[in-house]
Amino acid sequence: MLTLRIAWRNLWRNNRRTAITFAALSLNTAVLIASFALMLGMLDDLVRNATDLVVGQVQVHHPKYRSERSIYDTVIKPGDILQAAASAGIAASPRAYGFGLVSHGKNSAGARFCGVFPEKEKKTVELYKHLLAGNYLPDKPGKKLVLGRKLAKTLEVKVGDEIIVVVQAADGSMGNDIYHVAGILKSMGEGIDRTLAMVHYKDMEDLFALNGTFHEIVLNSSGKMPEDKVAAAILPSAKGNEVMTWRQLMPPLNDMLNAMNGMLILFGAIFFLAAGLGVMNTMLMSTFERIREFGLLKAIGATPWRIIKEVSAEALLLGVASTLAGGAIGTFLAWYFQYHPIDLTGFAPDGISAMGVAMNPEWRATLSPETVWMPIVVMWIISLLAVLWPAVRAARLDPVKALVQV
Amino acid sequence: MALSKIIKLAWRNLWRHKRRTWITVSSIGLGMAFALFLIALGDGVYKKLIDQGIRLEAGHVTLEHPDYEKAPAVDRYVGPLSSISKACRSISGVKRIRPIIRGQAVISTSAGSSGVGVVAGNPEEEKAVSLIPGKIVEGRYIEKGDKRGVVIGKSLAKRLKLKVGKKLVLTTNDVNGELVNELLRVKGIFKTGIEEADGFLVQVPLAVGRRIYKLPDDYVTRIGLILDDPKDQDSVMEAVSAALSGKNVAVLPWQKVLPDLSSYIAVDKGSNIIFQITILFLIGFTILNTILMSVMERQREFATLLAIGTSPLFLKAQVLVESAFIGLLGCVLGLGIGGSLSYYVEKNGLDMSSTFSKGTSVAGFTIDPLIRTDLTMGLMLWLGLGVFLGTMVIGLYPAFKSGKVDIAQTLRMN
Repeated sequence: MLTLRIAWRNLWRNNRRTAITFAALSLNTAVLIASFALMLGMLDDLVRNATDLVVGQVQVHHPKYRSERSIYDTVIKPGDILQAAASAGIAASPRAYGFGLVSHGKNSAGARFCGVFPEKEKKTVELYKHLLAGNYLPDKPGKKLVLGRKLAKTLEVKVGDEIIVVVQAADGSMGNDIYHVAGILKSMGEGIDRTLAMVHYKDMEDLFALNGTFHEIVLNSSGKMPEDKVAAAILPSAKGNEVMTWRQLMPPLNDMLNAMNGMLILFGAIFFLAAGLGVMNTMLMSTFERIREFGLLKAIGATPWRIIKEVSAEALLLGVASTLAGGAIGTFLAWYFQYHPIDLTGFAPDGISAMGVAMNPEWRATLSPETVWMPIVVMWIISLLAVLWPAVRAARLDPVKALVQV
Repeated sequence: MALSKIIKLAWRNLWRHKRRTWITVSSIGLGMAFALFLIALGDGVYKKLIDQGIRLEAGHVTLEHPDYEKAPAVDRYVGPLSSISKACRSISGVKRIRPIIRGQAVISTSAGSSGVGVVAGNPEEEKAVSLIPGKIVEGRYIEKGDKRGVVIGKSLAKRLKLKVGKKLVLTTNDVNGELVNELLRVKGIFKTGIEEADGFLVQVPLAVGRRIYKLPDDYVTRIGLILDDPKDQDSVMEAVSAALSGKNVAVLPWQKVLPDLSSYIAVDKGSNIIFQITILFLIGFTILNTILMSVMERQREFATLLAIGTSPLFLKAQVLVESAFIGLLGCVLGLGIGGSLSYYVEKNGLDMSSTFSKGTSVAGFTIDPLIRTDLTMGLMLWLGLGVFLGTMVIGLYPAFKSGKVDIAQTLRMN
């Protein structure tokens, strides 16, 4: 107790030095916490983008559908799956797919039709929020289309334009009809941009003679539970179907996330080193400066152990006080960036995509306990080590020599 | 005279307090090394992304029909190729000229059909530029004489159940808007790891592309220019525009041709800039702290010097020169450590494979798990100058402070 009291007084004997060290420690802690939260947020954003925009956390298909893409490989007993999802509180959207030709004037292109129930789709994924022009599909069927950006560009169409669709229906007949463009999507990745034509399921059912069948069910808990849990929740009801998480569906994206994770770990390590260096050098300097003082203490009879004890106590007091302050500032910053994301839209007004997945150019921090306590503990260790080295040297020093050192 | 004395004294002073000097110099040097490495790492990742994108689509600079960008259709072709090539070849900085015909089509087999992007190019030219020829996993790449040869991506092949030697039907509209069907035979299958290519692109020889789309002889839809040094992009674009003025040709940078990649990089760079600012801020603060601390430590010394008659101006100048030396030494240390670390990683790459999941083949933008830095003279110069000037600005404070020490009070202390 006495040691702590002496240490406390010592800190205030030279308040400028204390202030500088305090500032170094707290600022570095705060910056580390805020930047770690931002790094973590970047990864979370990527996952959220991967799942919340189009793909969802889990998808259910007929086991042959993904390899064959045949219109006949439909989801087995979709009603059971939808019911299981509803009772587990997971949003689900059934989709149907089919290929066909779309044309406008003398331009034509192949398209992949995707039939959805707009009200269900909107609850499951956020694609409807990413329109470049026009509106999303209305809740009621009405022969409207939402097109991928590049598909619209190839056809040279704008919102409201007429589009002729020609498809081969499930019963073997040719289906053709006139649709109107309701909206055009932002950049969502190559696959969607070049080929996607979204329509209401009811329209699609007529056009392709689908007879109430689906090719895909997308499930998304919007972050409430991890993808494995979502898959497990509906697995019993999906007998005979293939249930896959987004990580299995999109291995390249999964790899990119892992690579990104590795990059961020590297960045984090560099940040730690830079901050640690700042704290260590400040502490080293302030303790070496006091070698004369330690020599004096030793000359008047302090034991080496006592010097080490006192210096460590000072470092600990200062370390705790400043990391608490820095921790508070850093946590506040991280919290702030969690609710006020850094807006990077200015860099890419049309929206961006990578690995076939659109990204939201908003950068949000994720505040988690690790991002707060890890920098704090590391700062304690660094500051303790940085004072122990000069303190041990001082303690072992011949007092005469220490006093001579200016 | 006085200046050389100041410099001499300042230099000696530094080495009278070796430890203090080293602590300050290491703060600056190591901090700078971290910053240099971090920035070079970020730039290296972008360089790789850009390089991959350019190899897939066209070139650093792309020549096309003025309206092609608005709505890419094959009837908006550009040429004549021979005269454009001749004009471009005389411009310094242009390494290669890559004519391609880029079109849309549907390919079908008995297993189904899929929309694809067609890239028709000169096989010899493509082998030197494109990513695809080097990534053939089955069969071989197309050759000039292949009348019906096509190479397709692995995922597309899987989807349509195609193998080497199998036939497929390519359906598209030619320049007159007529529907055409063409029977092609798969010569090879490539796997780049980029889903946009593996699941979507097919490559045919230039002559086949021209036949399918019925393009006039000597015309293509896109002419890509590959540069010796990507940094010459602007000057080459100017020279090309001047050489081709009067012709109906648009000269575009890759940023316009690959807007997705360009905007992805722009956004990622935005976040990277925030990291860079943060680390520079940390380093600046460390430099400030160590210099402040060393000034406090030296109050007594300054007071003694002033007491024995050193002019305050002389003292100030001396302290400032000391800061300059420290800044210089820090820069040398920082550029040395950061530069050699970045150089090493640029040459050998940093293996990130431990962060990749096992089982799945490593795919995506970061195809090979080696990341490399991109170290440029400009970056080193810019950072070195910035850190040196920063140190000098911070050093102004102790310099002014030193001349103003309260002699009596300070000497009584301690």
